[in-house]
Amino acid sequence: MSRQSNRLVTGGRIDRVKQHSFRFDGTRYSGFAGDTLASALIANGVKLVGRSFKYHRPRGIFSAGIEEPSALVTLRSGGRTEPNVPATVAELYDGLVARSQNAWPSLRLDLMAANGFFKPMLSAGFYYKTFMGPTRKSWMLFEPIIRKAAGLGAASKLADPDRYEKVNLFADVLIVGAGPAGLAAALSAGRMGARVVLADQQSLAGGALLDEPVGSAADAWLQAALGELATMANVRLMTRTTVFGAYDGGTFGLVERVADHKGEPDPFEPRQRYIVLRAASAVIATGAIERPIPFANNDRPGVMLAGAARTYLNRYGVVAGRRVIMMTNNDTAYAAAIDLVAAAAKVTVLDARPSVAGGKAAWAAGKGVEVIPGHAVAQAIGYTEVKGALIAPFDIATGHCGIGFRELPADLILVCGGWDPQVHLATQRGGKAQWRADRLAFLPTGEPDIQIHAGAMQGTFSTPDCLREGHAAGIRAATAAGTKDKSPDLAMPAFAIPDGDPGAGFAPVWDVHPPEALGHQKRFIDFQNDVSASDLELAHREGYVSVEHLKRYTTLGMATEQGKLANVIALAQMARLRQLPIAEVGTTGFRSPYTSVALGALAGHETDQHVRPVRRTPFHDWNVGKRCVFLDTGLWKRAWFYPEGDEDVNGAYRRETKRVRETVGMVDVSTLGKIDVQGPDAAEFLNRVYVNGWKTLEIGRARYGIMLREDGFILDDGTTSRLSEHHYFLTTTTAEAAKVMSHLEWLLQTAWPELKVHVTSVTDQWGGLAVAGPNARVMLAEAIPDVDFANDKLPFMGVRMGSADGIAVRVHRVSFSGELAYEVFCASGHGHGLARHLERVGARHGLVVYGVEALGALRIEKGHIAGAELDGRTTLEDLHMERMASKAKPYVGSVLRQRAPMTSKERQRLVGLKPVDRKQRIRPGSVLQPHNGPYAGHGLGHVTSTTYSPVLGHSIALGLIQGGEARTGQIVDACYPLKGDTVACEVVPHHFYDPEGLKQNG
Amino acid sequence: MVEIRSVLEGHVKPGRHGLTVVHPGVVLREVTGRDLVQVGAWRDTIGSVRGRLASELGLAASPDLGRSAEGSTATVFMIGPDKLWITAPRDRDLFERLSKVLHPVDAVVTELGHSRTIIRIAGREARDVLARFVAIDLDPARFPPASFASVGVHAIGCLLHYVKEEGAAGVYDLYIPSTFALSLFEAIAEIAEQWGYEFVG
Repeated sequence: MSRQSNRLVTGGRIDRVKQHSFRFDGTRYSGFAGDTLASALIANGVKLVGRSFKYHRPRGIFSAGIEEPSALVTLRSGGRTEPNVPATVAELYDGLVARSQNAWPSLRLDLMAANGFFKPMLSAGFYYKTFMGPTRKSWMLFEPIIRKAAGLGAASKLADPDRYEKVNLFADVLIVGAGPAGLAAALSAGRMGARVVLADQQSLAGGALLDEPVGSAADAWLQAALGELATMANVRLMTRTTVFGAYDGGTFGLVERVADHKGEPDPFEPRQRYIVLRAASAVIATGAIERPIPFANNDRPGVMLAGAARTYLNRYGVVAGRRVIMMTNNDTAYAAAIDLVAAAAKVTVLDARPSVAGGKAAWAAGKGVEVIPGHAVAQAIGYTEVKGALIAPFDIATGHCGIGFRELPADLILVCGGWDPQVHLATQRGGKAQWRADRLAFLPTGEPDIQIHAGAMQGTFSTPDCLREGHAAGIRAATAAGTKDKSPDLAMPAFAIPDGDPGAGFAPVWDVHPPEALGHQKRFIDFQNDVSASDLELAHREGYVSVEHLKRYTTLGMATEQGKLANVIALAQMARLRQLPIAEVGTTGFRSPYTSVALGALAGHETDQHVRPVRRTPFHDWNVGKRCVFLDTGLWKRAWFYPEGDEDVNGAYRRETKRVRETVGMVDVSTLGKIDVQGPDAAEFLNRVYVNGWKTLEIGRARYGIMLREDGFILDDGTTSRLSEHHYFLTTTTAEAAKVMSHLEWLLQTAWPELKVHVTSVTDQWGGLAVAGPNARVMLAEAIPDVDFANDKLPFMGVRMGSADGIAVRVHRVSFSGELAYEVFCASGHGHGLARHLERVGARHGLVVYGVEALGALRIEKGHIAGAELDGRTTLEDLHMERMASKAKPYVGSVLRQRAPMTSKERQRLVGLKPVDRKQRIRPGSVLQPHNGPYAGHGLGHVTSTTYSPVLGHSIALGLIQGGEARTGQIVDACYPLKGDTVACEVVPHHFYDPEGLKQNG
Repeated sequence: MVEIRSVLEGHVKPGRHGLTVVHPGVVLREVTGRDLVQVGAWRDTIGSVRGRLASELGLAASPDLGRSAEGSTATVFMIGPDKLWITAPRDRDLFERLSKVLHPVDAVVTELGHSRTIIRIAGREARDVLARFVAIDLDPARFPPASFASVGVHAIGCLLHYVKEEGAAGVYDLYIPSTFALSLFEAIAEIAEQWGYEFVG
């Protein structure tokens, strides 16, 4: 284990008692609890951390936060492998294992760095220029190589073993960011009694205050504020929680990293939690991110943001360099310089401003900082780590270095080019940010919907000012949320940090053009995507004038970068190239998520068996006991078939179908939609909904009905039974149950509110078993002795109430199979008992239990329509149902169904199909074409349903074909291009079995 | 009376599950033995129907939207402007009683006793469990005892009833469509594992 050579003996917010061991690229190191992987690597003197995306240039740690573009690592292993984690946010834990990315065979010796020799080829628009036009076919050749070489990290192909969950949270006031402004807002809103959620992405609350030395005045204020907040039961502080998106209606998306700071979650603990938070009011105090300044080779390991170096020093007790060169254009950088000098580093500040008299520079100089005004870093020296810098006089007006450059030794080059307010959550709600020249930053133009802005995110860079703004924002937010002030004292805790307004010191520096003599080394703008100043210049030369186009052409701000570091610099350079003010160039919009969110978190607990809810019929457990194989139909688990021995579905359904025709079968039909239609106007309602008449239906009788959509196409079919004067029991197809229910509700609530009718889904209330076959009557007569099953007592479409082994049942004599058949319904809690009773009785009558596959075979033989024919495109005429439609009354769809195209003889109509070669099988979905061609387009029609018919001994099908029954006797080809099948078929009537209905009526 | 088979039967074992703790954060049980009946009236009859129900069921107050009304044995939920759910012990023949009391011209009565499985969620983490599924504010100040709401649990419409506060913890009944009940119970139980839960059979 290496010693932590860059760790100071004191200081920082780490727990030096808890030492953590970790590995990076196989080498063992140590750090402390409270470290990030980045701080621990710096403490151990590790500078080379990764390789860049395109050119495989060596990269180090550039920042200390979520904006990190370079130090992206892969954490953990196996199913927990997570690529592209910024080392700057990866909290250190004992046993952490991290690997560098984009290097082969090793980080230090990366052969892919040879890409650097092809830089001119790999410039902006490489793919468009190389793989479009005449050379486009070369993509097929190079794609595997490019895909192997490119990309950011590699995800695991193993299943993620961790749990995730979704949570709904509510708050009067959401405060985003627990920096100075956010904390102050939480204090004032909390004191007023508002229910506050204070969310911060870091492991500790404090934001920029955490960068101040422990024991400082700022730290004292922070501790006092946190102490007071801890006493407020109405304030919930959520650290490790990123608010990544702002949505309609005060809704925010948050992700809480519950266990990412551990090797693996505790038992039953979720790794991450996706929170949907709804707030009455929100304070956005998201702070700002330090902005770099491009210079030649500015991506070398050892180049870092000035504020990051201060973070590592004061928060983690790590000094990132001993010989430091800092380049800046403003006063805020000097705090880092002063603190580093106090930590025994030698610091030289190159201030791009020609004169720095009277500012922080003088104060810093008094503390031992060497300040050289009017200078800049022209080029970093070193490859895998910084060895020094070439510095040169700098003309702030032109952005060019003058003659007279010289070399300074250094192991750390710091840069501070100003601050970019984090306006993402504000602009996600609409409205682009606007340029403010006095802050050299894009700022929100207003406060959208429930948002109230405070602090650095709106260009307030002085800590006392942030506190004041936050305090006021908290009061505004609580008031807006309807909170009545419960606190007589809203005064802020004393804050004794002397500070001016560093914003006044900003000078625009967007690029450092090196002296000609130094050649053309890359000046990176987007480190993560290897986009340099020369790429922007190339895009400009090629005519890209829109910021949105430029972004996509150069890949600037893609991936996790999302404009955090690169955006403003790129816009400023674009403005220079176009000779426009930055304000006129504009900026890109920001979309959620603000930072990466694991897909696992978004899925939450809706994974594995809970991807979607499972719907089980009342007979499910009984079906399981019968070795049933289930078929997922929507959410339902439908009984598909019941294998005997090693039967497959084909063997099982043919046996089941045959037995039903020969003896008797029983099938679970509980998935049918079931709706109670009740009320004095129920008959009138049904009369308007169905195409056929309902006013004459007697109590104890059922009727088959078809309902249309308003446009005249068939919506659904089913039987409806009249149970009492004002009570009808309506069934729908399984597939359309919800649609029919909502259709009926919609009609009652909007079209006919005057009708006294209630419709209630009773699908869950009733379980149903269909009993079909020649022995059905005798079997049920024994099973339900109080119902007279004689044909004249319970005729076809009759309904009776009875009792089966003490279970109250409704018996409906209807048939889907074409056999003598009954549907027996019972309250669902009695389903299991009813099935067992019928099974016991049925055993004496040759009962077979059959599934939906056999059910389909039976109905196709009979020529009954189902979902495949009721596909939303068929009319009554198409399915030979037009004679059902009443001419004596209007009904839904009655007008529009009479449009000429709906009744055209050219429409495709239902027919039966038999293969000419009886050994052949017709595939469902086959396109019907003229026999022996020509085959063209969509053909004459298509096959809707197919099965093997045990009765006929060969394959049969139903189909829709132009001209319909007029083609009876013709031969057509059923073509299935995906399999290369062509089956010659004879067009026949669609009733294959008992067309006269003697069986079902007998 | 024929026994009613619970959809949870054979799938859920009574006892402690999930995180091993002294006091489980969540207690789950199925509320059995209750009937559920829907009364649907119309805008010109709902007033008198409410009155008749209040009288028949001995309600302390007339049922209203969002708040359950309690009788000596029955609980009434006004689930819509003209619709009510009434739940009572199964042995009270609720459906028959109300069918006699209410004329079908004034209101229709629908038996729904088998259509819902009632899962009771209690314990100090009950609200946290529900927050994983229910997009309503369960803060007792906003959703006090006796409140009820139609909620989507895993996209399935359920009725959530805040039965009572018990030792600073909420006791909630979730009326789940029976065909989905096992699936939703499994999802709820899996979430509850992180605090340890007890299923009281």
